Amino acid sequence: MVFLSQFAKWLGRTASWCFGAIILVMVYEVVARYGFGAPTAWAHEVSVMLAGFAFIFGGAYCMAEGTHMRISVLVENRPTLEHLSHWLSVAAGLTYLSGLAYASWRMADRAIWRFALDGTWTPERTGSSFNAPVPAFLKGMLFVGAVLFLVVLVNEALKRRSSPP
Amino acid sequence: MDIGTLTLLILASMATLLMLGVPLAFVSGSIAVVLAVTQFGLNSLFIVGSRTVDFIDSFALIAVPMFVIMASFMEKSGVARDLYRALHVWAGSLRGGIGVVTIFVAVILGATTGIIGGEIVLLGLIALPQMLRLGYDKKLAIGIVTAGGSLGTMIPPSIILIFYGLTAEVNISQLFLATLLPGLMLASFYVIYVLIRCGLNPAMGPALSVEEQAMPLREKLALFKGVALPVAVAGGVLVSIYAGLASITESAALGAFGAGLAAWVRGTLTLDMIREVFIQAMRTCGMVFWLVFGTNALIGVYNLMGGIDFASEMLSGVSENPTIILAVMVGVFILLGFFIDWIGILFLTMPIFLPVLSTLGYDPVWFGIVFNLSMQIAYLTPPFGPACFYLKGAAPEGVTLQDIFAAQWPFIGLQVLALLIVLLWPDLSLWLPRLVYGGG
Repeated sequence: MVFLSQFAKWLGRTASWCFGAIILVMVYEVVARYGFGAPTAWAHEVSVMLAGFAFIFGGAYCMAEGTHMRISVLVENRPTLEHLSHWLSVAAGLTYLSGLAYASWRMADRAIWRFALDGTWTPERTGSSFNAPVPAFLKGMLFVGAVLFLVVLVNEALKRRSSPP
Repeated sequence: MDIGTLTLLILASMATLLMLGVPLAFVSGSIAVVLAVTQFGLNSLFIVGSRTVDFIDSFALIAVPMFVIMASFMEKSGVARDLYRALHVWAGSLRGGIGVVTIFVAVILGATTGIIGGEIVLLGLIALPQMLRLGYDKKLAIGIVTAGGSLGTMIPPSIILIFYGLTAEVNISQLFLATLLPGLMLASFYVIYVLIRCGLNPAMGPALSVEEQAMPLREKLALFKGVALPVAVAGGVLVSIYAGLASITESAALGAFGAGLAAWVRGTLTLDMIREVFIQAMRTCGMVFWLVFGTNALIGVYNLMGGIDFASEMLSGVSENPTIILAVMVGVFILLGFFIDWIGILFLTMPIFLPVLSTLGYDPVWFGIVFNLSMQIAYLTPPFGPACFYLKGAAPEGVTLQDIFAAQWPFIGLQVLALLIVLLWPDLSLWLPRLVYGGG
């Protein structure tokens, strides 16, 4: 499963280009509004989806890169606490992420797996004029993002066990 | 267990996990999950997920990575260095002049960014060696860099105020206006302090050497050429926000685009730089937003337990006198600021404070500025003073963390003074937004 940590890094680097796309979308929206008097119906919802994608996978990315913020003053001064700190972090991470994964699975299931009476697929939408399936998309991505984050965390924990500091 | 005991238990476990170095992203989230499952059962985990999605599903939030990108473009294309170079030649024979220039640069940089880390690192790399070279008092020079660099969030645009606006459901443009005068006031306090100290004791901050003062006016003005465009971009973003031409997120995105364009005009833009800038934004967002997800989840579960009502009642029960309750809130900000980051403080306290605030009839815009000023203090105070850590990473050799912490106290004093003025005289912050938006 170690390749999934590499995947998380790759995904993070790739998803960071979402921000570039948002910049272009916003510039287009403002130009269209003032230059041509024709604001788009889609710019905001598309931006929210692009940004949501990046925000969600940013968690696993920072885990794989080891850049999540922690207050390390005490542990640095007392190296004996290092072991405890590590396993406590893993335990807290497992607790939170499995809870989040479970919750987002239930939500995604409800938001995506929806059909009208005639059998057509009707994922949860924003209800605006553009009516993109933003809620369904974000909930589904949150589940995937939480699971990926969890996998990266487990990888880090296992790496630590096989090569003690 | 009653809610009071649970509240204490939550606080105690948070403090323990924080101190033991558990990543902030997991601290409150794990407590939220344990609480939800033990108090309400598996189904209540729903709230952990739904609050996260609600938070992400916000157009205003996108302003955060956009401002980060705008700042990184400016930073990486060397704007800070050129700006410092263009301004420092004007310091002339003034004692403490370079210190004053550093504060000016900090304020201008503050208008191009809304985050403090980068700014302090830049000033630490550019301005601090200059001041030490001229023989400035070490503590004074360090204090100028950390306090000046922290001004970034007091001068709009400000990431703190974006998050506060989203939490308190207050118009962010109004907050940006309200913070302007208090921010400039704080900056002018620093300037006055530097001038007085150096005036009384010239050895604290000597003037430039005669050769350096001798630069002809034409050359001095020519130095501005390189910085005109980036500064115009930053100014354009603020105008676009204040004049209501575009939403904050759109303005920030235009600013990011403009900063990239300015880097291109200056001939420093490369594909690698663009890649770095986006990844920087990814890192910041991954770190900060996942921390917020966890805190948000905890607040959701705590609210379900009736904790918010409990804490609000306890807070209003402290006294009949609104001033005392206000003082307690500010005290909590400052106390927490010794230990945790502004974003943690914001998401932990605001759900409890804001309902109380509205029953007391205080203006939430003004309260945002009070919070913002309190966080200025939090940046500098040990043992967890982010500004000090940022500077340590960039400071020249021979500057220890002890030096840095010891240098902060006079500046913390000035921040407390500014906070008191804004507390006692709300019009200082509310005058501008009223002027622009009317009412009141």
